[in-house]
Order: sequence, then C-alpha cells, then structure tokens
Amino acid sequence: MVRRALVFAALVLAQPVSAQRQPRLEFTLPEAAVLAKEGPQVRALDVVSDGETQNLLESGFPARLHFRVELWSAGRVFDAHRRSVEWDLFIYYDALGKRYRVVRVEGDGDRVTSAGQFTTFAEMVREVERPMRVALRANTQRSRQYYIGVLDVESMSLTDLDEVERWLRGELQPAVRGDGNPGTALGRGIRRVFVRLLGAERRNLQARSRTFVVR
Amino acid sequence: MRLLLIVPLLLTGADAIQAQAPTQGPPVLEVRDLRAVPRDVADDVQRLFNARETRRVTGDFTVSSASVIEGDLVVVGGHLSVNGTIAGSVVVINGGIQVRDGGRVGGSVTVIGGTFATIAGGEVTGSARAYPERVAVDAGEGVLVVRDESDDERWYRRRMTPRSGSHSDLRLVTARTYNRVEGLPLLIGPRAYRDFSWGRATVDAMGVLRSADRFELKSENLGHLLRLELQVGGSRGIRLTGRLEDVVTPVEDWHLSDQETGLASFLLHRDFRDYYNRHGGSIAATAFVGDNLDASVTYSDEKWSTPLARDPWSLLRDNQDWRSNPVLDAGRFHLVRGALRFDTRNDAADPWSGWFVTGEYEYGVGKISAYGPTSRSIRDVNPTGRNAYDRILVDVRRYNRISAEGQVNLRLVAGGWLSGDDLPLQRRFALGSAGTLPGYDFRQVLPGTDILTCAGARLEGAPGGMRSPEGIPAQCERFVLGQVEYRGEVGGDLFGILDQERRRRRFGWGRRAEWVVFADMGRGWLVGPRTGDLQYGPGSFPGLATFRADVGLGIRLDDLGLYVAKSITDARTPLNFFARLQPRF
Repeated sequence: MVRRALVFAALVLAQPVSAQRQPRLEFTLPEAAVLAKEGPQVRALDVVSDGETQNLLESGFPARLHFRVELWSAGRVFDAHRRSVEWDLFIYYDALGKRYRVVRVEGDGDRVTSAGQFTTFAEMVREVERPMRVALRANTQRSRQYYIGVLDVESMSLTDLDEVERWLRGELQPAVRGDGNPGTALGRGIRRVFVRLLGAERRNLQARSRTFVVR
Repeated sequence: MRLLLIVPLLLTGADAIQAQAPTQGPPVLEVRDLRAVPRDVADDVQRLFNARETRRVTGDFTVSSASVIEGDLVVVGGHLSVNGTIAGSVVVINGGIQVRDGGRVGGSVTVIGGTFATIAGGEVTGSARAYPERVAVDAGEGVLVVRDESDDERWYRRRMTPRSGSHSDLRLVTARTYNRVEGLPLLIGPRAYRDFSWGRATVDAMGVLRSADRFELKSENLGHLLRLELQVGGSRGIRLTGRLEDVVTPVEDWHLSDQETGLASFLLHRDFRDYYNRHGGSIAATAFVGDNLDASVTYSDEKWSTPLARDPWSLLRDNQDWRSNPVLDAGRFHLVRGALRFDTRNDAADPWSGWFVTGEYEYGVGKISAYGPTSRSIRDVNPTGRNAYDRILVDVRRYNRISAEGQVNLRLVAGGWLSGDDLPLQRRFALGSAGTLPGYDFRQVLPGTDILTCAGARLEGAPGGMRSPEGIPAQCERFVLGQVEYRGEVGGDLFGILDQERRRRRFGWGRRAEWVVFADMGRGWLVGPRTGDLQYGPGSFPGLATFRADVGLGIRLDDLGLYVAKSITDARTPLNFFARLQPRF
C-alpha cells in the first residue's frame, strides 16, 4: 500500500518538480512621478508556453486568460478596494489559416479586438507575455496603495469525456514512442483525470505590486 | 466603397438623445460596406436614422397593445415585440422583430443582424426585409459605427458567448465527487434550451450511473435527474424550476467542498459525509439580481431512504472497510424551503473582501416509516411516524483585507430546530473535522457529554457499549460555530507597514505562499427539557464555557493548504494535521 502511494505521489508530482519555469504574474509600477497618471504594467509569464497548451490549442480547444486587477488603499482598520479592471485574452488556433489568433475582450464582450495573428506558437507566446498597461491609475491621496492582480487560465470547451478520451487516446503516445518520459506522461494523465473528474481544474495565479504612496 | 452617414443617434434612448442633441450637435454615424446588405437598403436605414423625428431605443423593446407610435422607430441591439401600432417604419439592428396578434406596422420593416416574424394576426403594411448576418456596432462619444464583424469578433460571439436561439447536446459529466455509497456518479443525457422574447427554457434529462460495484446495472447504481427551467429576464429576473430526482444526497454538505470530499474518499479511503437517497419532485421559484443576490422558495415531495456504504476503490487502505453509512430515517416528506443568498465577495473561490451570507428555512411534514437508530434518549419516536418540523441554517462570512499582505476573515454558522417534532436524522448536525472544528476528529464522540455529535452523556470510565449507532450519525438539533483566521503572505509582516518600497521573494507555485493562523469555537446540542450540558430548552443558549475550541496554523501553497490544529478545551486531544484544497471558508 505504501509503495503504491509513493508511486502515485511521484507520478502526480513529477511534472511540477521537473518543470523549469513556473507560471507567474508580474507587476511593474510606473515611475514614481507618474504613479497617478499611468496604470501599472501586468505581465503573464509561462502560462501558455508549455507543450500541453500547444496541443490543446491545435486540437481546437481555445485558451482563456481572464485578468482582474484591483487597486487597494490602506485604511485605519481595513484596507479599501477602490477600483478594478477586468479583461480577457482568448487564444485559438485557426486550422484553415494555420495561425494562432489572440483576441482581447473587454467589458461584457462589448469590445472585441484582435491582438494579432501568429504563424508560430512562439510568436503567439511572445504576444501573450508582452507587458500590458492597465488603465487603472492610482489615487492622488497620500495613503499607501497597491495593486492586486488575478489571472485565471482555462482551456475552453473541454468536457470530462473529452479529457478522459484525450488522455486514453493521446497523452501516452509520446511516451510509448519514446519521445517522452513514461512516468511524467502517466503522472500528467492521472493528475489531469483526477483534476477534471473531481472538478478542480481552475488554474489561478495571483500577484501583488509593492505598496506605494503617491507624492 | 465606404459609406459615411451622419445621424443624430446616441445609444442611450430617445429621451436622452433629444435632450442632448441641441447642446452636443449631431452625432456622427459611420456605416462601412456591409457584406450582406445592399447599398440601397443601407441608404434607407440611413435616412431613417437621420430623420429628426425618429424614435430610437437600445435593447429589448415592447410596443404594448394599447400603445401607438406615430412615427418611425429604430431599435439597436435588442428584440422588438409589437403588440400595438407603429404608424411609421421600423429598423432593427442586431435584434429581431415579432409583430404579434393585434400588432401593426404602418410602414416598412428592415432588420439587419436578426430575423423578422409575424405571429397570428400581426400585420405589416409595407415591405419587410431581414438580413440575418450580425454586424458590429461601435458606440463612441456621439458616434456610431455600423460595420461587418471581424473574423475574431465572429469567432468570439459564436464560440465563447452563451448561445442564443436554441441548442441541444448530449452530455456525459461527473457529479464532481466520489463517495463510498456511489463511487463516481456519472450523469448521462440530453440538455436543450431555447430562447424566447421573455427569456429562456431549459430541459435536462440526465440518467445517473454509479461506478460502485463496477457499474453493474442494478437499482442501487441507477438514478435520474430531470429538470425543466423557465427563466424570465436576463441579469435580473425570475427562474421557475421543476425537478424530478432519484439521487444520493449528502446530509450536511457545508463542512467541506465536493472536491475535497471526493478526493479524501478516492485517495485516503475517508468519506467525510453521510448520504441518503431522495426520490421525488420539486418546484421552485427563484428571484435573482445579477450574481450577488437571489432568493428562492421550493416545494418538494420526497421519499427518503438510506443507501448502504459499498466498496468503491480507493488508492490507500483499499483493503479496509469503509465507515458505515448510518441508517437514517426512511419515509416521505413534503418540504417547503426558503433560501436567501447575498454575495459581495471579490472572488468566490479565494475571496479577500466582501460578504457572503446564506440563509435557509425549511418546514417539513411527513411520515417516517422506519426510524433510524440513535443514541439513547436522543429523541421521541412517534408510533404513527408523523413528523412536522421546521429548522433554519444561517452562514455569515466577512472577508477583510487589513494590509497589502494580510487578511482577517470571520465566519458564524448556526442552525437548528425551531419548532415542531424532533428533527429527522437527515436534518441534524455534527461538528468536528477539517471543515468545522479541526482540533477534533470527524465524528469524534467525546468522553462525558458529547457536544460534537450529540451521542449522549456518560461518565468517563463508565462501562457500556457503543454510545452511537454504527457510522456515528450527526444527532445534534442545534449548533453554532464561529471561525476566525488571519492569512498573511509568507515573508510579510503582520500589517504590511514595512512592505513599502520592498520586493518580496516569491513562494508557492502560482501565488505567494500564505501562512494562516486560525481559531474555531462551537458546539451542538439537543432541544428539550434541560438535561446536563447536552439538552437545553427551546429558548436557552448553552454557556460559552461549555463550547469546544481549537487553534491552529498552516501554510497555503496555491490551492493546497497544510494545517495543524489543537483543541484548547480538551488538553488530551492530540494534534490534528489536515489538508484543504481551498480556503478554510
């Protein structure tokens, strides 16, 4: 029993441990002189750059990156939420045109704009990882303020059955062909199936800027 | 060729347009070449837009049977329902028009990005033309641009937005949990919906197939879930729902999430819930305002029975027996339930500000055909089986950010019997375990007076057999639980004062790691003539000295939280280690 548990743990943990780069969200504040005139820059790194995401995209499953950035200020007892901005980046693969397309959606779908078409996966990743200026300026008050960012990443249109079928059908193939590590593939598959079947598929990143005072 | 149109239009309704036009001047409309609309039609639309006397509205609009609109009408981004009279012509952009019985349009009808229909005696005197290909409408300050959608806009609307019209598909989904009674329940069946001018109708017809006993096709492994729902309104409105169900339901589902319960069962062979089978039907009316507020009233007629624990596979301890599923009351009940939900949390999955309040009142009347076993002197058994009760359950949570790095969260949960007969076992409570008082084990029967599962009182060391029936059911009729926690980023200081102008090392996978300090306090009790510290009168409240409390600390790495808790009211209780896959509350 113990051996089975250890093997399972090793399989499940194999990918996080071996992954070289972790997905992350980063803030860059504007220069101190323009803190109240410009919003921060937000950058999502390594959230769609893995091969698994590429496979999903090319299989027709779009990816959605939902950003929410909040401005907070310190209060006497509790901090206060001032304003927030939300937007989405959708990434999909146009199989006919053989291009990755990135679509930016603001509001409740009121404003849909193209963020570009890219012939290679790497070009698309560069666009997604480009720093984005957020239209959320700090208040001019002299209290401590900070930004909080939340990024939800999800693959769209996947059902449990899709996922199970994908795993059974395709995820093990590279390992069987010798292109990958069987343990990693198996662990990834087991983890994904559990995650999907039991409903915990949400990938959520959070980040906070340093606190600052507008002078 | 690009067609430029100047029209006096703002997308804020006719009154606003007429009020602002004299001071702001005529807004500019640019209509680019449309793939699907001939130029002469675009010119007609332009003329109608530009006409000074035209009435313009945004969104859904209904001309009631008693109404008469003397001139022309333009509707943008909405559905037009004509029950009365429009003397002039009508243009609808990105919407549909229905001219119903008694409705009359004296001029022509032009629809761009939608459909046109007359129903029964609806009448259009002039020509009617409809171009269903949707167009993009960009509204700026005093400017309206009508143009073809780009490929990306069309893709987004078709793939990523809720489909309008009608849709049906065959679904195979899990019930998102795993338990010792069902294994993994699968839901299989069609779902369909259709949009109407008043809202949406949805039908689900799902069969339930349970994986226990290797999906063997027998009655214990089969169930159903049929649902018909009519929703009137969009972001606010009313939902009417009818359901027919034969499903396995947890007794208390508020301790841990479905995912945590399922994973604990699947991985650790520990199921932190009890279950009963509900077979019957219900009707419900829900009023909702966005995602923040809803209130519902439900009437249901249900037969209750107790499924036995079976032997689904688990990763660890698979050769051990599962905890028995307690034998609960069997019978038939008519239930009236009122529920309220108020939610201002900034993030439902991991909130750091806002309120979350839920309340539920239930009146039940029915007949118990077989009482489930209980501890001694826990309740009176009515020989006729008739039972009428009402009970309430309230959960109030407040999330407060106190610095850039920390938050203090508070929760008060309370519930219990209000009046009538003793509560059926399906409606009773227990505390203890990771979701409530983690300093105590799940279904731990305390020595002396047990105020966690209400398994009675016994002097320590006194002889006797089991104090609680097999499976240790929840038996408390009332309970109250208070929880408080501080969550701060690892490496941060308590109030964030020193954080200014400093950068922090990152821990965790997707977020900064957090450390958590928490305390919990609560107890359950029975209602009746005062008996020691276990049973209190209906108007009495146990003294705080009788409560059980624990403290603990932990660390959260992304969604995974690892904690240790210790009772501070029972010194001999050992440290408890536990994990959560979401915030504690």
